[in-house]
Amino acid sequence: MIQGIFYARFFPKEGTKIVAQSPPGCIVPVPGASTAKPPLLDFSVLQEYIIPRESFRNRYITVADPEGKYFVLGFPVSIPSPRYDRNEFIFNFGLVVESDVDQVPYESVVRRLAVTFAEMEKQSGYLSQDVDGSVGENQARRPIQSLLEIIKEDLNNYGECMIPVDDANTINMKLFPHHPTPPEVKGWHVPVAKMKFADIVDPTWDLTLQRVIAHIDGVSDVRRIAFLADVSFELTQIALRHLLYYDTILLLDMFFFGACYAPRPGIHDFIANVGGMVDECANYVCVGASATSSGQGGGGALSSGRGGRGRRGTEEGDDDDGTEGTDDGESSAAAANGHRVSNYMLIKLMTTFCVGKTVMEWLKGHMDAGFDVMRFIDVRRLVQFGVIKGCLYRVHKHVVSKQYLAALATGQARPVAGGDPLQKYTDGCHTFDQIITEQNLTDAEITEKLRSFPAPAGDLTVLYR
Amino acid sequence: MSSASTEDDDVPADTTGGPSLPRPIRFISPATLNLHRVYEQNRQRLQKKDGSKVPDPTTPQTKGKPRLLLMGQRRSGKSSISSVVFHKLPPSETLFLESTARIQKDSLNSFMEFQVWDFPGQIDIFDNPNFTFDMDAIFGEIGALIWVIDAQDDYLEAVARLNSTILHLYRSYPHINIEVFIHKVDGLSDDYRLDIQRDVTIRIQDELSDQGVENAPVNFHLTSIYNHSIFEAFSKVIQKLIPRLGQLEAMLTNLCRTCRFEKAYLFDVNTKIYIATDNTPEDMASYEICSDYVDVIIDFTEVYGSWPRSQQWRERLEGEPWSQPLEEQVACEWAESGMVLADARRPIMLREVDRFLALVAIMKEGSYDKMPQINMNVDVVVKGLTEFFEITKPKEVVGPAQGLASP
Amino acid sequence: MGASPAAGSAAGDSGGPAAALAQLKKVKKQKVLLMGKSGSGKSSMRSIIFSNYLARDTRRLGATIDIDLSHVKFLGNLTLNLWDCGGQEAFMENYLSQQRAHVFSNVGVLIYVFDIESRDVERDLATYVNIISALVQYSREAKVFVLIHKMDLIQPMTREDVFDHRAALVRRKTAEAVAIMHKQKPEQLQAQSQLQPPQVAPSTAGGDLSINLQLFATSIWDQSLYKAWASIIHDLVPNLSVIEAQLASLGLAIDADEILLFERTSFLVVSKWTSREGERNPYGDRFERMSNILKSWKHTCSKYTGTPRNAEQFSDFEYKMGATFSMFATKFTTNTYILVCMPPGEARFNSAKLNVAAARPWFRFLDGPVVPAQSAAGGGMSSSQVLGSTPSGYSGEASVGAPEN
Repeated sequence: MIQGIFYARFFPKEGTKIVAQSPPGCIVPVPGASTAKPPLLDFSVLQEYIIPRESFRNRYITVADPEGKYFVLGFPVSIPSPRYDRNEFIFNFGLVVESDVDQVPYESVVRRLAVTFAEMEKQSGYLSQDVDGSVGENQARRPIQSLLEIIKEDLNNYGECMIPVDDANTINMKLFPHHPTPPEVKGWHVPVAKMKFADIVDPTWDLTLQRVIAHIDGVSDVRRIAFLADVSFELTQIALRHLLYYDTILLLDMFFFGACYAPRPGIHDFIANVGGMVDECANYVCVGASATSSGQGGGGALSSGRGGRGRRGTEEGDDDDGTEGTDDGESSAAAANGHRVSNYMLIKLMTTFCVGKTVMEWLKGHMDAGFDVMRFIDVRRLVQFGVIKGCLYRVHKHVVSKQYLAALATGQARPVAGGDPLQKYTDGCHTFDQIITEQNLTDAEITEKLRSFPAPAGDLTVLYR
Repeated sequence: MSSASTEDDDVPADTTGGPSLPRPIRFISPATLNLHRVYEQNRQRLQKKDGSKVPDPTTPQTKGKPRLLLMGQRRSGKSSISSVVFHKLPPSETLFLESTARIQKDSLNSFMEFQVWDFPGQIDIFDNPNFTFDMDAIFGEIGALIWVIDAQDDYLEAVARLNSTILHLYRSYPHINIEVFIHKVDGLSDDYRLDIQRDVTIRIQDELSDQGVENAPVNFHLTSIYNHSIFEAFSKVIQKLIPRLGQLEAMLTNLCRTCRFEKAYLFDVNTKIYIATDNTPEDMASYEICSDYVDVIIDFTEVYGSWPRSQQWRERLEGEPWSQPLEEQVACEWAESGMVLADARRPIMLREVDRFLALVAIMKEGSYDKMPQINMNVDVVVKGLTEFFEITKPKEVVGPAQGLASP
Repeated sequence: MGASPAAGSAAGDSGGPAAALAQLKKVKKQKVLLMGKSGSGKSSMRSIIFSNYLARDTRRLGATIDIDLSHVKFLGNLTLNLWDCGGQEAFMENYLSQQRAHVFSNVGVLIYVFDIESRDVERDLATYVNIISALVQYSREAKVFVLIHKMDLIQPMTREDVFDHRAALVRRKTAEAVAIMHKQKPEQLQAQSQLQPPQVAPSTAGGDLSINLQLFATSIWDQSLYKAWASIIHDLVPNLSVIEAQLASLGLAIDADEILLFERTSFLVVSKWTSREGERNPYGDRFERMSNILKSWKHTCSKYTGTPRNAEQFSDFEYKMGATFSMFATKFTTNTYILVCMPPGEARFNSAKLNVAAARPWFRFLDGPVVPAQSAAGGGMSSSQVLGSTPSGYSGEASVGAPEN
């Protein structure tokens, strides 16, 4: 939220003055205003940073007020020209924001204001002719005061503004949320939608993106999606990266029954059922309950992400049908629903993943123990849920060849043309998933090939990590 | 270097003239006071000489002296020019000059005697219903007509008047040099200056050739009182009036070659106009430094040399252990000065030739060691110059002594 | 010839040698406040005096924001902490409220600049009174220099009247301000005024609690600026008595009429000595005039040689005006130039030049606080004996400049 916005100018006689501010009195008290809230900050202390000395001008400056409550973001501009009294016109359009908000989106606003008004001043003396910042003799002109007010309101309410300043100039600004650069999308990643793309996509979207989105189902890996969508692999990666940037998808790994999973510390939350996690899980994984949802093209959106900002309840409200309320009495709930697996059972399932036990073995163990997992539970979804919520992690499989490593270390390793295609994966940096997608082999085939690898016995080691 | 002071001293402190002029009474800075004193005295003297409004051709002083006429529109800067060049008024002080109401005549007692007539802009001498000017009196002995055009103003009317003036003069006095000063060019960009000069030149030449006048002796100068350009322009104007200029230049050229000087100027000390230089290319920078050097010397002379020392002082200095009159203790009766520029140890030297003239030269790097020989050569040249002016005064020139020793 | 009998006596007359040495070692730092209304010309004059600006270059200066601090090394053992305070109303209020103690404590000198052209004189004076009050409160002993600036904009003939009028006004206001402060805090000020000896200056305003106030009319376009600043720094230069005594011995030894010692960058006159004959010089303004002449000459040289303005521009200036006088100006110590004006005569001139060169070690303390003063004193003079008798006349020229560097 922009707490205040102001326009400050250096006057050759009076010094630094706030010419316009919104809301009134946010920087300096407005004379005559009775209902004056105290200013947000002490202008007399900060003024030397609002119109600073020369070396700080024409650059973006942020200043914290002495109490640490607010930040002033500004871009003091100095326009040197002999036509001004004292050879310089110095001004600053600044914002006041709370000290804990992300300042990055506002930087571009501040820069934009500085650049636009500096250019208008250079071309037509827009600012210098504006005698006192309020109503000038030129009625056609919008006073800067009201301009600032609109900018502040629009940015706060809509995140963008489009304000015609005069015949030639319009200020278009948008607050762009700033996200960190997303990680690279690999061929063996499986994108999972965090929202229902079908609801928001419209024909104006990027064509590639539209085609890619259609194939995000939480099962297909990136390479497959590229193939199915008939989009080049690289473009698919880029498209998915965009979605990743806006936090609309998650990247998981491929699901194999032969893969291993193990608990992470997040499993404690699951056991404690923090925020109704287990019920959410039940909703998501129980075969009967989620029948409709999986029927909708398999891309059933997951309610919230690992790194997501705030948990926004369940989006699959249509198939909630009151299960959330029945969190106690697991057997009765399961009975009432016919399919609802008890929380105890879910926790038991979740906690029994461990290193060295493939999903297949895990499944077998539970089946043997008399619980027909497959009947009640979508195993893939359970694993996905665990991974997304931070309860589980995938134990990846790597293969290492001592010989190859030694060759790498001495710098003589060159992939031999026509040599074994698997050799380059044997440095321990590549997961089996990668080999599977890139070489289009199954896990078993890889193992088979490695067995016949032209290497002395004991050279190859498979690591689980 | 006695000229600056002695000239003041000759002037009787007569205050009867100049009723309309503001008489400054008190000043903050004694230096300004002094400048004003010089300036006032000159004015008063002139006003005493020609008190009447109309130039009197029979006044004996004005006979036989080349005359510079300053003409131009009102407020084009004529009086400022003559105050700055001939009275050493600081340029900033010209703001306070009042506009000239009558013809202002200055006499310039230098190596040659000049008169400078400053015409009020509002008087049109060719078309004046109330009064007929005696053309011969004004233009009869004219050396040059200087027409001042304000470059920062609309100059079309000034150009038109100049044209009619040229046409008037060309018939009766075809040998008058017409020098156009495109003035107040300080503050204008270089390009703009040249544009104006081109424009003015074309306008005048077109008009003249329309009237059938070809090859009129019209020259153009870009000037400003805030830098040396006005002095440079005056130098060019004056040089055209010097008889046997070529001889002078040859002497200086010879000196430069023999003594490894970069540039040598012969200055009129009072006005800082140079009346001759050697034949190496014109170089504003060296003119500026030499002219400022003259200024420095004049200032030092005024502060330390313009007041009489006491008799005791003299007696003490002439007594034991020297036992010689002061005049014999010195090497050179006129002023001499030298200075070394720090960058490449280039010396600059100044030597007075007579009351009015000084030789100023910039030497090449490393000539500091040869100063004694150089001094001897300069001595010879100075003697030659003195002879030259002795001879040119009555008119005819005999080749001056030019035997120079090689250093 | 050459050295006079007085040559032997060195400049030891200011206390014992130990005391003198201690005095020489003292490095003085002085806080100098430069204040006045916006646009009155503070930064311009500072740039001219200390940064070798030409008067016309100052038109390009921007406004000073807040306080521009600069440390000017003036001679080796005096550093000026120059506080150039932006004069905009907002800043002024700030100095008087927020930064009051910070700005006004430990002030050695306050230079207050009035713009003579200002239309709102009443208001200017009100601000001035506030500043003086703050100064009296925090730095009771500070000296105050008031410069009535931009005098060039006043018609020459009325300048003195205008200045006198304004000066009287400023004096009265100063006295009032001090009196008010006196009433407010009588005990405190009383205590302070007992501690310090009463200061007697010709221009001091009346009243028992006067502060040391001097007024000058100045303009950046003429030498008046140098006069004012020379007075300002004159009081700040440490070891002044030592310098003056040594200049006097040098002057007597070489038979000079006048010696001026200039600071290298500003060309302000640090110290001077004048013989009895020299005192008859009618030009009372010659010191600031010399500063002005030499500084503008320096600019000319810089323009010609294309070297930076702050660089050394000339050395070994000499001028012999027939049988009237001779003079020379030369680089003296690292921080100073010396100008000697003396009677005519080749022999006298040449030996004086060599003696001045030989006297340099005497003055080496001007370059820094540490100096072996004792050993230097005698050496300077002894060489003058050697160079006594050059035959008068032309041949003396040959030795000019020979011992340089």
